[in-house]
Amino acid sequence: MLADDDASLIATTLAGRSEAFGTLVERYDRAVYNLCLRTLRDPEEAKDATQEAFFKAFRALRTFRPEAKFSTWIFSIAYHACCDRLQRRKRFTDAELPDRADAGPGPALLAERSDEAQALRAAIDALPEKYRAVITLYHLQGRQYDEIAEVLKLPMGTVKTHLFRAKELLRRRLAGLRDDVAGEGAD
Amino acid sequence: MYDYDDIDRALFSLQLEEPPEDLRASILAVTVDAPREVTVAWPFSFAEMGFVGAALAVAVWLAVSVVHGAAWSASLESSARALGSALGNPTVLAWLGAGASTAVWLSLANLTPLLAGVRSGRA
Repeated sequence: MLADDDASLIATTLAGRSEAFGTLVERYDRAVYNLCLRTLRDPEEAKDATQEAFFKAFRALRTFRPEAKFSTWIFSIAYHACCDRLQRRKRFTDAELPDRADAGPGPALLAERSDEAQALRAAIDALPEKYRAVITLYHLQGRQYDEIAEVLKLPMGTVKTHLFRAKELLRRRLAGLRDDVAGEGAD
Repeated sequence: MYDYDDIDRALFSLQLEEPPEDLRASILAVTVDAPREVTVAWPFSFAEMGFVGAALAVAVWLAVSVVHGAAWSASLESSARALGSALGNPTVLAWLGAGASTAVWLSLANLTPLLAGVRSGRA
């Protein structure tokens, strides 16, 4: 069981063999980085937030409840580190407002990214922050609703609503992109 | 037109992006490989500290008595009487008990979770 493995690695770390924490880093750094990247939309800041999340987790490892999942815990720490960074960013610029849809790259820019995956990533980046996190955790990382709710500190119903609205926004944006490409082809 | 199945299919097939090459090393540098804080163990036990403290208090009291030229026997007798009556007073004993309990509780309390600002599963 993966959860047991995580728990035993934590126990080993707490017993003084801190190199066991390195295995946890290897196991989750990519996923945590992707959550930070999708939330912050800045690779350099995502790297810093990922590092900060693991540092906080390492320092607070004794407070980890054995019955909890390490993945939920580290995602939660990372997400809130990202939120702190977005808040700090908002103090200097008004670029990120969590409750409004970000204009993001328009269809013209999306069209330049011909690859579907690139277009989809760009469309995800254009979503409001709260939708980006849900999409990243659910679709890209295969997390369950209850775990996402715990990470984001949201009711499960809200998670489902965010997911539905996120997909609706993606559908519209990608449909607009496809129409634009089809229109250019007809010309 | 994209429908929801298309979106689901595209999202589930989307690969996670590769993190920067030095990410793992930078995380390990501040966690596993970080230099450990040097902690020096306190060289005395609690009982030893109490004994040393009491001896110092008596020494100070004697020194003050000598400087002020107080009568030794009278001072000792009055101090012993005062101590005896104090320890026989329930109120004094109750306050001593409360103080000792508080000291023990504070020595056992672990404030690390509050300082870290991160709680297991509730960070």
